[in-house]
Amino acid sequence: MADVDDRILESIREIVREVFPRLTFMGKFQYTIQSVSGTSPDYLVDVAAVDTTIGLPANLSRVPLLSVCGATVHPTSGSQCVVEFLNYDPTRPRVTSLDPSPTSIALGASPVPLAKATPVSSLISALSTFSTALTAAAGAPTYAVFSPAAVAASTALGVSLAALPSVPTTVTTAT
Amino acid sequence: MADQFLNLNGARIVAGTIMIPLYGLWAGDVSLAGDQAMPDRVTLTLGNLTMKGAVYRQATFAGTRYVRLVGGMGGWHKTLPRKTYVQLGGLQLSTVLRDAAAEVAEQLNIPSGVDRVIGQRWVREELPGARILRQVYGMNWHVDVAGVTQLAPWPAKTITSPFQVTKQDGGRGIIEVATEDYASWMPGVSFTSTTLTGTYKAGSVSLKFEASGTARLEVMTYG
Repeated sequence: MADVDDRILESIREIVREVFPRLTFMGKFQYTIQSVSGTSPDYLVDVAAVDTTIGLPANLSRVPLLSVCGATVHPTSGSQCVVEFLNYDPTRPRVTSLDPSPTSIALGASPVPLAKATPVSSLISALSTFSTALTAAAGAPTYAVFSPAAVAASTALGVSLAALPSVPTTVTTAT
Repeated sequence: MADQFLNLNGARIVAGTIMIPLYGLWAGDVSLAGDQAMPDRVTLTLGNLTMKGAVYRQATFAGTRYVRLVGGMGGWHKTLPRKTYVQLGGLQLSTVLRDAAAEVAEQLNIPSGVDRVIGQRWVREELPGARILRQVYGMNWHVDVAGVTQLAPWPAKTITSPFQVTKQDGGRGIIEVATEDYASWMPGVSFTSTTLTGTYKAGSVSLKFEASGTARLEVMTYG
């Protein structure tokens, strides 16, 4: 804590402390994850301070992970993490980030709908219908002149559509 | 007779000041007739007022012993080590504060209704015990004249014993009174007098002893 023993300085420190009684808890602190307990999304981690001179306990046990917009990370022992205190409250430590990044992130307990998934699916379906109709029309005597070109175009379109992956509508896990 | 009226552990107080604040620890400085060393725990007597405190610092110069006193056991200024608490079923205020009090050897009274769940965890940083009290409980605690730390404001009593207002500094909000009943004049009391306009509340109380043998009681008013 105080590395200079001076009575006047100590009085100033007391005044600052009176104005900001939770001053220490306004910071971000680097810890290392020692162990992980609990299950997703309610993981708890035991952590050890990287710098033991920060004035906080060298070890914190069963610290929750802060969920960001519903996502849950899967912490691993040995990772470094940042511990912060919600509202500068010493009763509310939270792990707010991990380094290195977690190996997996759950984006929510339920599947998350992807934007534009439905219109893209509709477009592909329409193109497929068009291709089928074009092939059928190419066989009609009326369009005999255009038949080879129509068949070629329809075949090319069909091959392209078939090569497309199925359109994802949701994501549950990104790795 | 003077020794009986104003003394520290029986040693006559020549001069000094004791400040009893509305919140926190009372403290003061006294000089004694003679140079006898004071023990760690002492009792200050002023008429009918007895205050149990601790010696924070003392030294002798030219046959006079100078002593700085603090209320209680003298532990709240001691720095507590870092610590972490986890109680997923609910961590009680009393758990962390009783621990802190025990570690600095202070007596702590937590009135019924004050205890509560503060969360599931608590991270104690390395701080003096008084700062821990402030951080966990807030400002509204005091050390009473018996040396016990109370998690409560001073009792809101009314002065009923005789006293005389000897001076009122309305600008500074300080009223000086003459009384034989020092024990009643603690922070939080209300008082009025024919020489005052209205009722006043005592914030901090200062006891001043002068070498001439007089003892003055000054009240800083609030409210």
